[in-house]
Amino acid sequence: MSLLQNLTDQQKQWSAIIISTVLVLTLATYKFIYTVLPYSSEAIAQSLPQSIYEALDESGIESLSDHQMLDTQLTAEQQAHYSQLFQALVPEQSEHAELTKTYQLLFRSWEEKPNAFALANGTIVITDEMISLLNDDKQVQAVLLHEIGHVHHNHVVESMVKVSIVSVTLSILLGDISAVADILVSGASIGIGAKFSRDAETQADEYAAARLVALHGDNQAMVEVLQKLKTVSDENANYTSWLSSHPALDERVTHLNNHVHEFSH
Amino acid sequence: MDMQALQAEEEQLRQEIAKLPDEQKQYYYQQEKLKVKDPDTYAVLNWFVVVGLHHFYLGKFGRGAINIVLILLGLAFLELGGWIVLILVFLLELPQLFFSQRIVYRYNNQVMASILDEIHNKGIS
Ligand SMILES: [Zn+2]
Repeated sequence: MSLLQNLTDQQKQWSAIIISTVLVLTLATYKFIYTVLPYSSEAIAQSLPQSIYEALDESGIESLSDHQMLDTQLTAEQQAHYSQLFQALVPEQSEHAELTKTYQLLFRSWEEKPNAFALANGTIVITDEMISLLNDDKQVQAVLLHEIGHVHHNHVVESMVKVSIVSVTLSILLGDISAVADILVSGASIGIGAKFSRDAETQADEYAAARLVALHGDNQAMVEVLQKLKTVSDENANYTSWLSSHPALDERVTHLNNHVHEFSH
Repeated sequence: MDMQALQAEEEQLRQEIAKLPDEQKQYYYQQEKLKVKDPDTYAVLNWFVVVGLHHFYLGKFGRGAINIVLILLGLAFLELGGWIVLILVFLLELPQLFFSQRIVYRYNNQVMASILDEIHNKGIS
């Protein structure tokens, strides 16, 4: 208290001004990141024209070969089988009624690691390596449903918009950083490089779990897939695909187990 | 009070100051330099980064604190209508930007008068 009394009026006034500024800016930044950004990204992503979504998938498919994705080694029968499995899973409507997603499943071979990912408009790519890693159709369904969850909740475009808003905001605040922004945006525009937020991954997991429960009465397959991928990722420290962008696998399994609990009541 | 009245008021105060003996005059100017406020700083604090910091600048801690609490609450409950509070604070505080010259002029006259009062009452020598 004596310290406060020793301050001159002017010092007190400026202390109040500085403390208030810090408090308000801290809370404003927090709210911007956790409330304004997700909300506005979702709203902007929804209002983008359908043609952008289509173009994103086209350019995404074209760029697959740039990532050393080769033609699938699966037989025509195998492809037909999984396509049929996939078509049965396609939801009738997207989370956002104004968006009409066009779902399609593509097969590729990718030496690097088992992988599956979604593009903006409903193109989902699964690698031969992922399919051979999985034991049965239920597990393939789990992986496909997780990716469908990303499409259903529009995560690809939402994360692109989010990155764009952040880069624009940063370049306004810090001056021109267009170079950084370009890299970020082009990185996020292809599904392969897209890093979704933990929230998005959790949402996709929950979507898949709920759909699996509806289909089979439990989401065991999802838990099995996550455990299986964990073994693979433990073997290979460089593993950077289906999982590295995803929250810790153990956490996801725990989360899903809680889910099973919820659903069983 | 309009600008002309404020100028007249200042003129009157300046005449009073001129009548002070040299020693008191020196004390007066010391105090004035310390307490007088700058309208441009006031205007900047009114809107720059955080709205409403100008109250602190003029020593109105209560008013400033209410403002900051309202802004913090508005931010914290942004999605539950807090944004309305933010807009209200903004609408309430921003007009002072356009009157900043006059507000600070008036404040400075009051400061001058109170220093003169102090000199007259305490008989500072
Ligand atoms: Zn995912």
